[in-house]
Amino acid sequence: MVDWVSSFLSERTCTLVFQGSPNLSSPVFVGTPQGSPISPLLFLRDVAPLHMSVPRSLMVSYVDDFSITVASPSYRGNIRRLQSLFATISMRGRDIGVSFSVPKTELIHWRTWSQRTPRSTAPIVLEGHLFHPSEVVRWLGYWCTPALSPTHHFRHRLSLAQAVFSFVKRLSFPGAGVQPFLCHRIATGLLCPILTYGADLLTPTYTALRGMNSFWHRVQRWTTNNFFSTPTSILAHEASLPPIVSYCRYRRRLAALRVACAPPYVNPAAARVPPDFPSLSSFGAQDSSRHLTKGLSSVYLPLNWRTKVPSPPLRKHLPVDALAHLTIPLQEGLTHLPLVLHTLPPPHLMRKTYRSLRARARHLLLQDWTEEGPTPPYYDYPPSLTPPIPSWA
Amino acid sequence: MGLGKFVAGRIHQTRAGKSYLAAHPTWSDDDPNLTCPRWEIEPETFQHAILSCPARTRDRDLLLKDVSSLGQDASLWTEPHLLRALGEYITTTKSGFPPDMSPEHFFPPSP
Repeated sequence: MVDWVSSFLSERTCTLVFQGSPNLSSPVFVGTPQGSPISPLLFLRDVAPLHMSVPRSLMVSYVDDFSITVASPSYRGNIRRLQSLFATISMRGRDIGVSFSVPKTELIHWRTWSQRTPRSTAPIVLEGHLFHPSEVVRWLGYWCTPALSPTHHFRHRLSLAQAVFSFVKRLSFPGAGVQPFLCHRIATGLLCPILTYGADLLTPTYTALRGMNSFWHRVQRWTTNNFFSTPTSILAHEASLPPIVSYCRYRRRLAALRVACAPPYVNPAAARVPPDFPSLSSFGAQDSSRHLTKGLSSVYLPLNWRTKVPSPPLRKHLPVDALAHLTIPLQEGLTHLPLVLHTLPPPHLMRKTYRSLRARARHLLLQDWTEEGPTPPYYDYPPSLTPPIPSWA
Repeated sequence: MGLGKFVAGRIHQTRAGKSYLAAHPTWSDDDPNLTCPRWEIEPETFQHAILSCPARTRDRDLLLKDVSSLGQDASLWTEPHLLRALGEYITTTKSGFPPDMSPEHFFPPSP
């Protein structure tokens, strides 16, 4: 294995390919080759020493994207801690031959929904560069605002989905249009994932939902060829595409299941569930982000995961707590639930239970769908995720 | 494979209760005539157009003899050959077609 990795990383050359380039090969001594599945693993192994466990801070990375979060009673205190942490990490990086691209740094001051103090504009200085706090930071496709408002994120998702939809609408057999079952596949396999990316953690607000619903109705009309005068509840039934609200809730339930049923060494998010959550807690890692808010005043404290979000929401759950809350209805009526076990159950039992919980989530989706958009009395077809005119017809 | 977009659209529209059938009038029509244009006794509903219109008996006997219901539990929605037969029936009888495509308004394309 060592020889294989050594051979993989040695004697590498690169050639610049563009018009007028000298077409010369240059030796490469750093990094890992792009495009190989083993490269990110080797890179992660190399940068593992950069991850530190520091009290009241959280360090998360996705391949070469690092983020540091710190908490203290003041913004100035946060800035000072960030600067000192960055200096420490940079020094560690130098020891292993890694350097950060400082100009790409972004800073955001997190707030809670109930915080009434003025927004901070305190900048940070790293290696002589000054960085002012941003209103929005994009990380792993999530558009994050200081209070984690989902409106901005879903506005971006909507414009992306609209752009893709305007492109796929042009796909057509000459004079015939795309067959409805193909439209359904495009809607479920392409448009819906683009539109609802991030719905696992973020719940769309009323404003965001208005635009998303309007777009989704256009997709449903395109799928079924129905008229504009067709009631939207019937449109969803005919297209076999659930309303966005119900679908987002379903996505969140599935995400909750993944978190609840996976041991932390398989799914890192499982390490961040609330301490009293009846998960595979004896396998819980110690790196919970909960300690960031410990000891702060009540306006910073998140809701307990068992508490339903009040309407209008004054204080919110941590996103992972909101996910944990969604597992409550899934547990109803199930006798064999693995969530209270203290030893890892056999894989076949885990698989079986996970499947039955997934089926229950699906059942809840159909139930939500019926309650969310009741159809007029003259329409008596039930909601279904399978199109009424399938591919074999 | 699969019904064409146009025919599938007729099925979706008639199931949804908003279609070119006479019993599914547009909201902008103040005084709609709901009776079937081919059998001017009954309203032209989905049920009537597919299962009971006497003017379409010949095509129905030929294509839809195994279809007895259009309800949610009908075998029509689960059996491929029945659904294909329904598509063929709709195409032959032009049920739920736009008015300018109905037989009495059909003009051959200009040369």
